[in-house]
Amino acid sequence: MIYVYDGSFFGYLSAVFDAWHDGLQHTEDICCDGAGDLFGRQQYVPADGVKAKRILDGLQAQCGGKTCHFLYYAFLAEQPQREMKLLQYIRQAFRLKGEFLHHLSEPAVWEVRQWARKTGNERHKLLGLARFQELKGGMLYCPLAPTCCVVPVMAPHFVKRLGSEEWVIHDRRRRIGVYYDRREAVLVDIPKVLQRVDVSEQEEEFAALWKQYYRTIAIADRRNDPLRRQFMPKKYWPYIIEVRDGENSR
Amino acid sequence: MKWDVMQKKLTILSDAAKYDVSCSSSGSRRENKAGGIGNGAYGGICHTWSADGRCVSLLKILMTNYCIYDCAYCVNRRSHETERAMLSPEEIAELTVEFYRRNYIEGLFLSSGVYRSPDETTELLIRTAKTLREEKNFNGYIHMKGIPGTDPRLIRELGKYVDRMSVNIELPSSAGLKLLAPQKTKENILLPMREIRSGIAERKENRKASRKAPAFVPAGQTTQLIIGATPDSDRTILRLSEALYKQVELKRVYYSAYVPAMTGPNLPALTQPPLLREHRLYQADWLLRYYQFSADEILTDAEPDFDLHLDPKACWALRHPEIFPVEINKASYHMLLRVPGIGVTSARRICAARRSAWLSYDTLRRLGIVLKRAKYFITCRGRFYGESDRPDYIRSRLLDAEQAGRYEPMDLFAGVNS
Repeated sequence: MIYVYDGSFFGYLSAVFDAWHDGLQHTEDICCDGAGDLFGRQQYVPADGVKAKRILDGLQAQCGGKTCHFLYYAFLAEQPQREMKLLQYIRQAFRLKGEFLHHLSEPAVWEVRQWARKTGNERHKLLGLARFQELKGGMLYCPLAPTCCVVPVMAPHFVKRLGSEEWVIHDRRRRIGVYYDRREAVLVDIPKVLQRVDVSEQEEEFAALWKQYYRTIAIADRRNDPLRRQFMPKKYWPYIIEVRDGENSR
Repeated sequence: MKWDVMQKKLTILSDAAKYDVSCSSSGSRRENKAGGIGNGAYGGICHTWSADGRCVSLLKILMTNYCIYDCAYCVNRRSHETERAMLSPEEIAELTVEFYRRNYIEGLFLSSGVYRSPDETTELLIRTAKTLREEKNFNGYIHMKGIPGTDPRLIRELGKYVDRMSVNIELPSSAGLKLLAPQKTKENILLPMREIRSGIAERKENRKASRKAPAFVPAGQTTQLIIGATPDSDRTILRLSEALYKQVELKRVYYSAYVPAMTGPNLPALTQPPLLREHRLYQADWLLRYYQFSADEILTDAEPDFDLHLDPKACWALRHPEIFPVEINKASYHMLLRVPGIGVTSARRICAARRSAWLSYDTLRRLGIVLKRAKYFITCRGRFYGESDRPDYIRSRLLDAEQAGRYEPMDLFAGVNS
């Protein structure tokens, strides 16, 4: 049997739940919508919060909260064949229970941990590198194109920090975003990508001040481009206003 | 806001502040308030990296570069002809909040030249901090300088609003101070430092009585030392740092390779800043803070300066062949930390992983241990994987590895002046 889900984390957990219920020996694959082949026996599993919660609660009670954290973050890393590898991880966790987290020497567990690390690292890096622009009307807008799907896990940080602002963090690669209206943050689809954004009057001026600050703060005698690139990979540069235009990339 | 005037002031005052190396935003859990902006991230967040590869997490500027002092090494000294500027507390507060909203920065790092008198300067710093906290309802990170020679009461007042304070020692010995910064003395540097320390200690006491006791410099205090402007040995510097950590309970000591921005009769004629020496000092500083080393272990009377070719931990290991190799499945956490190629993270992972399995050599690689360094100092299930345990042989192999690696010593200078 091939289980098909909608691509969300809860959808995936619902598929795992059904697969488990039907007996794992019958599970050939779990895959995302549209990726399945035509010939296998397919079953579409809609995302179901109750099923997902059963699995997460079980993991948390038996193996500790960290196990759930690693599972979620590893899922967000969007690695190839994540579905079956994560299924293996979940099985392993329920088998070993409390001592599961110490089993670092097992390759499957280790790989999942590495994926989770990848997501966690990118999240942390982007918490610093994300840049908001003030739009006409005062809303803050932050476009990004992260490698892992980190926008949903970045949002709580900014809810705490910019609690009295209205803002959007936009993942342009996945066409999703988080919108915050001063009360709660919601995950939204953003199907159409605007090429130009309408920024407020003082936006350009503050951006210019910041770019000037960025240029002066560097000590010319200590210039070290490889070191900078190591910390701030070029893939993020298009969204970082102080390096975007290339005036510092010489 | 007058943008062109602001642009100019910002350029002058950030240019004058760039030689201060500290820019961390860690150590504070300050929470946001209703209707306010900002909070502290305990681990700190870097927001950008400048062209020299240094992380920028705070808006680091001087309030003013007017200064009544005449320290030989400083670009802002009174006798140096340079453009001067000053920002008002309101201007600084607005700039900070607007930058913060756009997520450019984690907060403010405000330093200043000594304007008219240390007390007057500190009063202006207090006004800035107060404006930010009370008018702008800003709860992000604020780091401010303690100006040497300030009245302790003012230091106390400032401490109520900021997350971190630092009083820069700059020159690691009294002789150096006398020569290069004649208006500063050891006493007027240590006085504000001690005041901050006792403020922090009192706050800790009060917190025991009530969780709501007002904050006082929650992220602790730091200082900075300039390396290479005076003839002090690395050992003198490292022992000073150790004393500062133990006796004044500093959070961090920063080291700044002396950049010859100024010339003067008492200053050394350097062509390039001693970056590698600075790097070794930072490595040794980490050994003091996280690896349970003492300064006397790292540098001895016989060798008071760092070996520039090899890092201090490897040097220590090579001086102590009687201890190595250690068995990875049995060695204590303390001992694992002393193995070159094993850091805090991998030592913890080893301790966690060996609870469930007897570790093999292959597993070690996966746990993040740098085997090309560690293999000469460990055994795994009783087996030694280095070719030889003779210190001179290991030394040459480690040097080869360092040459081949990305962090070869000359790499640090690559791109300088090019």
